[in-house]
Amino acid sequence: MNKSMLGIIIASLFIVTGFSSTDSSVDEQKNSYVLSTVGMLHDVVLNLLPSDVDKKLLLPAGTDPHVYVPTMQNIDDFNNAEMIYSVGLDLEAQMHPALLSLSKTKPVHFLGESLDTNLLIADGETVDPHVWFDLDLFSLIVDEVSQTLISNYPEFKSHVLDNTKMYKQKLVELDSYAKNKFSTLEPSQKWIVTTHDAFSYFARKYDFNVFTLKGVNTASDYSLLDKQRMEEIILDNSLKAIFIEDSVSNKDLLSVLENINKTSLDTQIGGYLYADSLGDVDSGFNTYESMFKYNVDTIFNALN
Amino acid sequence: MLNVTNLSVCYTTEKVLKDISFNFAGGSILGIIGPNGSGKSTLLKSILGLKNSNKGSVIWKEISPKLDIAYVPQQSEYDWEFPSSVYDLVENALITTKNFWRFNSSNFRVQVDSVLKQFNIYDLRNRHISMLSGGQKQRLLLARAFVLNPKLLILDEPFNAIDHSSEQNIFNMLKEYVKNGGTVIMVHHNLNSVLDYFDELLILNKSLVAFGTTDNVFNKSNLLKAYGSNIFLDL
Amino acid sequence: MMLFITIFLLSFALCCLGGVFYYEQKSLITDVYSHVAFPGVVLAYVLFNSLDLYLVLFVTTTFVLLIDLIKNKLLRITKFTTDSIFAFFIAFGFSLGTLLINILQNHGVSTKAGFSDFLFGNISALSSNDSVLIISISSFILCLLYLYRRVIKNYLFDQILFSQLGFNVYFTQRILSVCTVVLCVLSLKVAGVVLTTGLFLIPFATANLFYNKIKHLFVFALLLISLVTFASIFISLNFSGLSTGPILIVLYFVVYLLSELFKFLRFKNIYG
Repeated sequence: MNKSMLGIIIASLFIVTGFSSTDSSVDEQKNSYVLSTVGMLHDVVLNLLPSDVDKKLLLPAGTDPHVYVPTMQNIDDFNNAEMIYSVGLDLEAQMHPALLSLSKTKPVHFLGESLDTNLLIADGETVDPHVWFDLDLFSLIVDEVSQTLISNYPEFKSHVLDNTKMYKQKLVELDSYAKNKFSTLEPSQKWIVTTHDAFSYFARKYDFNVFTLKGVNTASDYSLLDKQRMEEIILDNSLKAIFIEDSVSNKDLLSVLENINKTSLDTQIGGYLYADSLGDVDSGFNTYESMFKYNVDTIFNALN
Repeated sequence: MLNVTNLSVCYTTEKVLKDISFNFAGGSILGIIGPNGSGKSTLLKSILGLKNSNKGSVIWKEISPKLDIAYVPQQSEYDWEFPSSVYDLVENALITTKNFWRFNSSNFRVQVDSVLKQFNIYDLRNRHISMLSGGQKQRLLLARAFVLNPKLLILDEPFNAIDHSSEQNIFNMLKEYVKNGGTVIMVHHNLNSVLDYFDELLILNKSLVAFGTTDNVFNKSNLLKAYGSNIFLDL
Repeated sequence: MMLFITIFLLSFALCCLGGVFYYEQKSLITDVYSHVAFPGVVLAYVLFNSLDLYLVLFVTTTFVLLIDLIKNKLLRITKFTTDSIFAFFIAFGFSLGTLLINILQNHGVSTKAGFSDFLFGNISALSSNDSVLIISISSFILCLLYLYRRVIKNYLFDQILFSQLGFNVYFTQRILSVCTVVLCVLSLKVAGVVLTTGLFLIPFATANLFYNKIKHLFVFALLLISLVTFASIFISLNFSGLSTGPILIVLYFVVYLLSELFKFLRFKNIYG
């Protein structure tokens, strides 16, 4: 057998394997679904759509969407999805190019970007993507999801509309719950001090102050000045508690607390807050409602 | 002093030394000559145990390879930008496993100064080693070897890239050393000075061409065997 | 103050070892160790579910030293040059670490663990326990290097004479490797995988431009390191959002560049 014959055989093998993998992906497309990047959006889709339509969550509980790099498996998930919901606003920064490219061939909805920019919190060019913590904004997102689901699944219109009403009612009740709880808190204690800035919308809604080491993106760095400022805020306001987050390392805040505890102030870790995802199934906080309530209770109990 | 029997050394598949056998009694200056790539440096390293042989044996009699021998490789094997003065380099040769943790420079000052004076580099003692000429570097390396009071000096091309008068100076020191009971084994490249320098000669070209007293061994026939027809020498 | 002492002592210890590898002409080995340490850090988390520096030090050092043995064996049998083998291990180490993090990422672990602290360093998150560990180990290694300074000098200049004087070349290499790996792992918390090699090499290289007498060289390095450490902390205390590790390396590099430009100031003729 000469070299050119060998080359032809090897090339043929590559072509055959290439076609066979294409065949398998065609088979998988028959099982398509509505894909949501983060748990908060997935919860909306789960509640609005009937069980006839498959739904899939891309990022498992506890995953940081700011730095998550999509794998080949995830690209398959994107390709096989019938429609995709994402927050946008640079939350899922590493997968945004892939999603943008897909939006030319299938419905990809950047829900945060559908909101009126006047309602969003921005620091120069950087927009805070954590819109789900403002129940009014999240309600608008629910409306958007509802409309887009109806246009894609007109056969489920009445089901979606009914569930949208119920879901939004839940949000109203959640809002009342939070307002009632926080109304009894000392204004001077109404500080949410965490690692990254995920709670600005929450703080705006319920009259809290926020201070964080990093900005809205967990990938950003902070300096000794930022750490010093955090310590000053804690000391000046004699804060009872600071909060760590479920999807981000707590080492930064523990180091701040170590310095604070060298003084006479007995600031504690108030608990975990769910910042960029819902809890996993075992935690019992794997729905938007339970997650939000958990955060409210944790903040209240720590600062009360 | 040194008995080498059927010594062979290979690098991967290439035989660098083949069945070398000789018996050197010591007490004189033995020269090792041969063309480039004939295995001269390899022979030195093999008899010192720095290179593993594939076959054969090296037996030292009445001498310990570790304690009694000082080996001076070629100058090019050292980094002359290394941060050290002439004095430091010679002094450091006195640091052993027995004294390194309590090494006191003042205890060895006399010994080091004496060797530096012997090799005429005392005035250069504070100079950085990069600022020495070729001849001065060679004298430094020899001083470092001598400070150990060796019974045997093994030198690899000590006269490379140094001028004639420095070469003469160094040779005279080596002759003095042999006169006082030392032994020298030296790889040499300049055939014109062989008769003047060496009492005994070993001619190498991967295998042993000849070994014996210089007068007997240094002749046209052996040189042709070693160097081929590319040799011009008026003997 | 504690932060200054931590960074200063660590940097000086790294600089001393950097000098050893500079004269061995194996400067890249520091990069090999830092990149191979990266999967070691992930392994520490997988085994103990914690990135406590004491645990990371133990697991990662063991891991890196095992890889080091494999590397040394390869260097003896390969036909490739030393720097090629080093490059292979640098690529391998970083890729393996990234792969392991990707696997953990799919289980919701990655950023929660705090691996990014070791990738790029996070001086601001150093706890007092971390500082105590870094200070004590750096001080110990500095004392060791000082006690063995003449021995190391002999080892670096002439390994043949070194072994003739009764010292074991292989044992000395192992000790130096262990010290380097330990400091490298500690340095991950300060400068990270990517920047650690800068801490090893740049201060020493700068000092070497000005002095060729060991004592003066290291005094200069001491001053340089204290100045740059002070400046980095000062900048980090006055500007928001700037990580201290990269500031350190950038400042060292700027000083080095300026030193190359002002070579006429060199005191290399200090010997008569």
